Amino acid sequence: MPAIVGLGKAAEVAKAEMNSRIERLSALRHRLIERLLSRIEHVILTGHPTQRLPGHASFCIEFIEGESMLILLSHQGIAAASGSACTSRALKASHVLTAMGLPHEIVHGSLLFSLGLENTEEDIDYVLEVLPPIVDRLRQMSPLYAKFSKEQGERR
Amino acid sequence: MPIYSEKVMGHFMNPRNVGEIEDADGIGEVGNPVCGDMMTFYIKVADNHLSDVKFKTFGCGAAIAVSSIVSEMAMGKTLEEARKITPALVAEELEGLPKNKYHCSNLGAQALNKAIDDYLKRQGKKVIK
Repeated sequence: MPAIVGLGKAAEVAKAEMNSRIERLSALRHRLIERLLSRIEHVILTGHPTQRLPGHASFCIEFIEGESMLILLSHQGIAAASGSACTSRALKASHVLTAMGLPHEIVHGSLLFSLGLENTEEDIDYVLEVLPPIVDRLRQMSPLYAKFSKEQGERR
Repeated sequence: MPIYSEKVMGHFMNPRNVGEIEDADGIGEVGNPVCGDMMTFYIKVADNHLSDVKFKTFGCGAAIAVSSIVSEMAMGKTLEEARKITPALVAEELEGLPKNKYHCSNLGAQALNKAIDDYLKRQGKKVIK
């Protein structure tokens, strides 16, 4: 019984604040998506730029794998998620991203941020500061990135 | 995320021997980006010993830690000794791997073996496993 009343109250609060929450979170999401795409090369935004959940930003970072990014992010206090095979128990890449037509090797670099009520612009800026060196570090280790760079060099 | 041993984390955070060897005597590539893991091992051989071992790896924390420890275990060994680096030994050296990450230790040992095969082939020698 108390839980039912509690849920009712929570729904009431959520409804009253829904518009302001959507506005706030959408602005944070926009900041994250726009700046991340401009700061890191070879990143794919998965899903629509604006027609998406207000607190949801998801990407595929090419040439590297999701779990290794998550460990390094977590080491710096950032909790994110990935749909890479290695992060799943079944060792299978996200069926949603593959259904969207993304090749497997790119899906393995999936990285997903969920923003909540307590997140601030500073949090977004912190992610933008911490993530690029992590991506760079993993790319320096990646044979896929080495191949890509070599091909680029040959084309030039 | 799986929980890794301290040793795995140490190698993942600070991997040894990352890189390529331009004039490698043998190269071994295993795995496949479609599966989510790919390792390339480069070896230099002097006097039947592995005088240098380097790797590049695309993969999870375990895959990177495995590559790092395999490179360390193989360094300086004779080819015959290096052949004896089994997935079980790799996992043991890393103080254990989560169950669903055992295939990573297989990959590491395979990549090293493939680099040795490549070296022997280049030398025109028969590949004995």
